[in-house]
Amino acid sequence: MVSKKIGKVIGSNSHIDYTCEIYRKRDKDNPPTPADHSFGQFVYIEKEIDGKNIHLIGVIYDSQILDPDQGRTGPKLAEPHEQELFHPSYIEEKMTLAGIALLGYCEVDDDEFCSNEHCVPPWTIEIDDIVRTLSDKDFLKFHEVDGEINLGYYQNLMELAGPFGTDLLSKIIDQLKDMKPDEEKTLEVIQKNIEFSKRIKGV
Amino acid sequence: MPIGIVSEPGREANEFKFITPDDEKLKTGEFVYYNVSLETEDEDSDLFSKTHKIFARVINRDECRGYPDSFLADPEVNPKHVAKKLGVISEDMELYRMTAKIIGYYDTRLNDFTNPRIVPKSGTKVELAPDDDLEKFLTNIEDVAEAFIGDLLHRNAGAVDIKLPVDNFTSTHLSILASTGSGKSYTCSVIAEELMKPDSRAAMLILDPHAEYHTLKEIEKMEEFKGNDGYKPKVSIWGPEDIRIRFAELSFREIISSLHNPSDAQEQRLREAWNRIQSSDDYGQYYSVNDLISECIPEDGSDAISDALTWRLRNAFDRELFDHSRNLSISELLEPGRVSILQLDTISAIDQQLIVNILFRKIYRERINCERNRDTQLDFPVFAILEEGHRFAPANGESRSLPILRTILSEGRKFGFGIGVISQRPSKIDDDILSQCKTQIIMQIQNPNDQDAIRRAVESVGEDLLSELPGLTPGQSVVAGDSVNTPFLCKIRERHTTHGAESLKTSKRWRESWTKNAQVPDKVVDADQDKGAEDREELL
Ligand SMILES: Nc1ncnc2c1ncn2[C@@H]1O[C@H](COP(=O)(O)OP(=O)(O)OP(=O)(O)O)[C@@H](O)[C@H]1O
Ligand SMILES: [Mg+2]
Repeated sequence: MVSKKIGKVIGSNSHIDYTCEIYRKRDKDNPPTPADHSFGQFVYIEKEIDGKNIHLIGVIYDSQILDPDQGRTGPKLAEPHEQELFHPSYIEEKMTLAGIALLGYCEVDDDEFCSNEHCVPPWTIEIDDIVRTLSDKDFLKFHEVDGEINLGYYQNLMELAGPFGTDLLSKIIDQLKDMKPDEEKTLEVIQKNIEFSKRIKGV
Repeated sequence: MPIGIVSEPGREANEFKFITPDDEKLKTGEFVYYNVSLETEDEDSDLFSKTHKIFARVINRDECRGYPDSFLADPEVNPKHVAKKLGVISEDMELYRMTAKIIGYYDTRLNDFTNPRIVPKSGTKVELAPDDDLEKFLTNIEDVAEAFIGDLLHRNAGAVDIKLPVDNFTSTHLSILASTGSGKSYTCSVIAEELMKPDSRAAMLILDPHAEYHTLKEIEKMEEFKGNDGYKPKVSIWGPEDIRIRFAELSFREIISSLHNPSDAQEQRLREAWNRIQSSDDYGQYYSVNDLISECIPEDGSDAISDALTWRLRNAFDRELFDHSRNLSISELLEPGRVSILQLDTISAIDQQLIVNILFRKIYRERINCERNRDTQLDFPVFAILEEGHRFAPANGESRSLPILRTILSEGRKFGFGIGVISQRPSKIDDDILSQCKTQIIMQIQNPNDQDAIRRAVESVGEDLLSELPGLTPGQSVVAGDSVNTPFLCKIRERHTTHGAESLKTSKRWRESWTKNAQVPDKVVDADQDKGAEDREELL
């Protein structure tokens, strides 16, 4: 899968928890399909910092749909330039918001990831920053530290994603297992462990 | 370099706990130290403060931080890798809480450890005790010959040589206790080798009920046993045919207790006869069982009592072991620089006890004579090894050798007669005997009764070391007692000579034997052609 623009940042709940408004069909030539902003989709936001090209990496962990007609309370309406779009017509009444958890960042050189960090990024994202899907190749690269899969963001993600944390991580691990069969066993230990503790809690 | 930091006092007054990330170097039984500054008096009684290394032995180890059990779900997956994937620092993830028992600092004036009874403060650095210190402090071999028996377990081979003071364990008795096959005879042979080196030149006796010590003969030809002054050790092997007891050596008690169920009248008659012989000038040191029989027969001819005694005495003593005049000569047997090995393997258990009784009594008598400045055949100390000690000094049950062994073990040190008791069943040895062996080499022991016996007899061995006993492998031992300054784990060195007691290669023997039998062309023989057929008829 190649990288694709899916929306833009319209707000945040914390330093690592952002809200992205997904482009509607008529916003773009190549509008995002539901698969592009599905649960567990990895995304990135590009930033220029001290002359370096940084990709802040995140994952969609939540979603919300809004109907602007009903009460007009969404964050969207607070933004004046959008209002023109909205007010004249009510054709597009549904709006999709995606919750994005930031997991870390990568430094990019010549379109290649040259370093990756699983941590709270030091920089903030701004309103209107564009959110793009992360390619499979970069997804893997982001997870590889010294050639081995690393889930250093595990704790942060579990805390942020709350009730969805387990499913989300399990989904990520599934993907990683397919990509790195030689690490399947170790990943499986982690996967079983999180699934087990969720089930036990539910009992 | 510190390997840990003191966290808290231990449960016992003399213990403390420390935390370490090291799971390689710090096994239980390992020695560590911390520094303490103590007020000390100098020669002029002025106080000055001096830093002492306080040594301690690690007695327990608990993991206080480790991987969650769930990381261990797949035996093929290293929990380290799981932790790493989850971004947990995987280096030094595990932390251990060690408990150590304080031994003290080494006081060079006392040549022993002194315990200042100061528990280290939390935060005190703990370091691994240096090899050199341990080699100097664990045993005290100043001014005496040394027996190099191996090196400290847990340290690199050769890092800390263990040398026991020969004078100590050969006079205050030694015990080597372990289950069968754990290396008792091997260790004993190592000690025998050491005692025959030019620095010691012991007068040594080995009672060898399994005929496994003959390989010590090899030392006669080995260079490292030769002294600059022409010394060469001698190894004499005495087979059953060389072992004789002069009948006249037997006491009345020994004679009567060898007889089959004698009646009171018979005992009475025998005592009279025996007394006559003792007071007569005709016999002196030499009389035979026949002489005693003749004395039992009344002047007017034999009667029922003398017939019964004749049969009983013949039955008990008309054997090669008892001789009219020949005897094991202790002057031939014992000599500095000679180890004499008495092979008792074809001799019955009762006779073995009798031999020990008579021989040891004689040696003991000579040693007393020597120390009292009387005429003696033995003007030098003697060290004797008793294999299968529980047979000679059983905890319950009769043994002819028990009384003399009791005497020697409690008094022998005054007269220079030391015993090395070897046994695989410490619980079956007489308690007094066991507790009189002041140096102990204890190897693998599983049996709880035997462990209890050791616990009772060996005060200085802590529970921590006792708990190591079941897990020791052949050659690994706990050394404790008066010859060491503190007990420790030791790997017994390899022998210079070959080991004479390799365990039977059973299946190899079976195979060989089968092959041999298979070569006999026709195995089934007619009954009347079978060897011994004639005798069979006769018997019928
Ligand atoms: N220090 C050692 N170094 C190397 N091997 C050893 C050592 N001690 C013992 N062994 C091995 O263990 C075997 C058994 O030792 P040994 O014959 O001394 O046992 P034991 O305790 O005397 O047994 P038993 O009760 O049957 O007399 C030896 O054949 C030898 O191979
Ligand atoms: Mg043996």
